[in-house]
Parts: sequence; structure tokens; C-alpha cells
Amino acid sequence: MNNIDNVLLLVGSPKSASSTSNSLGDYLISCLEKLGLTVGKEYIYKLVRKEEGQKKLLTKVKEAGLIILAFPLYVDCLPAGVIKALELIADHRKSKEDRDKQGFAIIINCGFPETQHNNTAVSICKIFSREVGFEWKGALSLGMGGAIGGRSLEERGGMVRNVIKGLDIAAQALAEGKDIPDEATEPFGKKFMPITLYTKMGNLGWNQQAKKYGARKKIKDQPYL
Amino acid sequence: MKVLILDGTKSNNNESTKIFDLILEELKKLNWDITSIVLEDKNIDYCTGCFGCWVQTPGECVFKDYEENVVRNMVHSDLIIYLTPIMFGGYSSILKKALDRQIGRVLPYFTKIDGEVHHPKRYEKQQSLLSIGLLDKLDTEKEEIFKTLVARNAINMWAPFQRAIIYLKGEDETEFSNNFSKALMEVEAIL
Repeated sequence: MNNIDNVLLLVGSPKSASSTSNSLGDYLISCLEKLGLTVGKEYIYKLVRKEEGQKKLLTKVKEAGLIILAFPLYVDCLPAGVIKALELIADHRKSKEDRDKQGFAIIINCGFPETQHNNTAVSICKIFSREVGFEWKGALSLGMGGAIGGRSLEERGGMVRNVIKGLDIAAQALAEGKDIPDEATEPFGKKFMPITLYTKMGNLGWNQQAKKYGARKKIKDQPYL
Repeated sequence: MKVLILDGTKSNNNESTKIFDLILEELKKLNWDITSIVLEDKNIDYCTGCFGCWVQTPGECVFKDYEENVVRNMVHSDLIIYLTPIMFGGYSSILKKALDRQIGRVLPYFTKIDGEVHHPKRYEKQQSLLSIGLLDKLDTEKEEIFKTLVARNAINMWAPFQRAIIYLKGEDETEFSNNFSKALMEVEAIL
């Protein structure tokens, strides 16, 4: 029998510990820990490549009462490694007759300023949850993920105050066995800054990064023509 | 007229082999120049999210494996066809592995399309997208999500035409072939 007290954070970014998914997930599980829950964390991309890791993933999922999947949006959808993990979990649970009712929540972030880019991926996660017999606890959906850039939320300061507010409320609800309420998803998804400022800063940032690699003048190259 | 088929199904699946053959048959009838890639057989690693294909070696992934052939073929095609089992409403991990590594086809900068932020295209020529999703049993929710996903991909990758076609296990093959053929003619009409 699984217990809600046992929380598993699955970080679904290939950047693992240096990802924004990790920053957001870490903050949420630290809140849950403060509320008295036992928390653990695994990086999906470190597990899905080999059979041994895949077995570990399935064991960790089986033991958890609440699974929180934190991942970035890749090409309008979940990253391939995360889909692989969901396929493995679904295959595994298909063979189990008495499936325990485990909670499942997600934290998704994208580099676009608008959160609506995440909607399809959220729907896919909901279907997954239904298919494997998890109890859907809700989704925290964020745009402008590039502004967090893998740093801890404490380090990002006032800019992410609404994100922190959303995570605090979500943690409280999840710890009480409830779904993530609108009072959490609304502040969490609020824009940190005007879209024009975010895109301008983003465009400058790409140029700076390319310059670092000596590729500033090649940024619009068409290598396959 | 060049077409690239990305087969994201698992091997030894009779249903997907049958659909793959039907796709080939229709393409041959209309004289398409066909390249097909069975992704499961290929050495393609996961995207690492490093953005090297935008800022380090623009347009090319910094990691060299079979994906280079996938993206090169994409760029030179008029049409890209995805073939995938519908997994929770989305693509298989086999197909998605190849798709995650294609982002060098667009530029890193931001631009707006119909009021929403996306990335500008890198190449002038763009590819239409037909996505064939295989379903074991009727599930309208999964179908809708799949269609939305394909439409969203088409916006982000600047596809001039997109269509998602669902094949339900046991469905009449003639109907599938007709739908596919109709979509192909629509693609040809805008070339």
C-alpha cells in the first residue's frame, strides 16, 4: 500500500540538476518536506537509457504515494526521455492487476512567454494518468522558463514571487491529499515581465551566447543547403 | 516532389507494417521521391537541451549521430510524414527522439505568428506535415490531442500544410488509403 507521505519528484529535463524543472521541483518538494512528508528525487534521463536505470525508475514509482513530474516543453510536447519513462511505467502497470491509487501531478515550463504552449503536453499527462490508474492531482504550468534558467527560486528573488506563492499553495494542498487548486495554478502561471521585454532579452541572450562560441555571425547559417 | 517518412513505430508490429506499405503504395502512385527512415534501427541519442544547434554550430547538432541524416533529409523534403502509435495522445518516444533534435531547423530568436510567440524559420523552403497516428481502440480524447499536437508542430516548424490521420486498428484500409491520398493531393496543390 502506498502512502501519500512518500513523495517522488521525477525531473524530466536532460539538463537534470542544472535545469529549471529541477529548480521548480526542488522548491515544491522542499515545501512538502517541511510539511512532514518524506521526499525523494530522480533524474529521468539518468534512468531511462539502460535497463538497470529503468528498473530503478519502476521501483521508485511503485513505492511512491505521490509522483511529481517536472519537465520542460520540447517541440510542443514532453521530451522524448520523459515519454520513454511514461511508456515504461504504463507497460509495467498494465501487467499489475491490483494497481495502487497513487497521486500524480506535473510541473511544466516552456521557454515561450505564453503558458498555452504547454496545454497539449498537460493533456497528454492527464491521459497517461488515467491510463495507468494514477489519481490526477493537477498541473502547474509556466511560461518564460528561460528567465529562471536553472537557478534556484530563492536566487531569482522577487521576479518569481508568484511562482513561489503558487508552489507554496500547491504544496499545502498536495500534503493534505487534495488537488492543486486554481489559487496555486493562477499565480504560478503569471508572467514575470511584459512579453516584449522577455523576447527582447531573449534575443539579446542568444546573440551573447553565440558570441561566446564565436558563432555570432553564423547564427542564421543554413548548413544543409 | 520529395517526401521523408519518419517511422516511429516498433518493429514486428503487423498493423504498422501494413499502414507503412499502404503509405508507400499511395506515394508511389503519385510519383513521390521517397526516403524512409525506420527510427528504431538508428543510432539517435536524446536531445541534451544544450542549444548548441542554435549558438555553437548554428543549424547543426553538436552531437554527431544518425540524426544529422534525419535533419538534412527534412530540409530537402517537400513533405514529412510521421508514422507513430498514439501514446497517451502524443508521439512514441522513438519518433520524439528524432523530433527533439530538429530544432536547428528554426532560429533561436523570437517572432510572433498570429499573436503568439514562436521561432523564425532558418530555411526558406518549408515542409508540409502529415502525421499518421495508430490507435488500438477508439478514444476520441486521444485523437483530439494528437490532432492538436500535429497542428501545433506545424505552426512551430512553419509547415504550409498539415493533417493528422488516425488509423484505428481493424479499420477499413481503403478508407485510410483514400484519406491519405486526398491529403497528398492537397499537399501537391500548394507545391
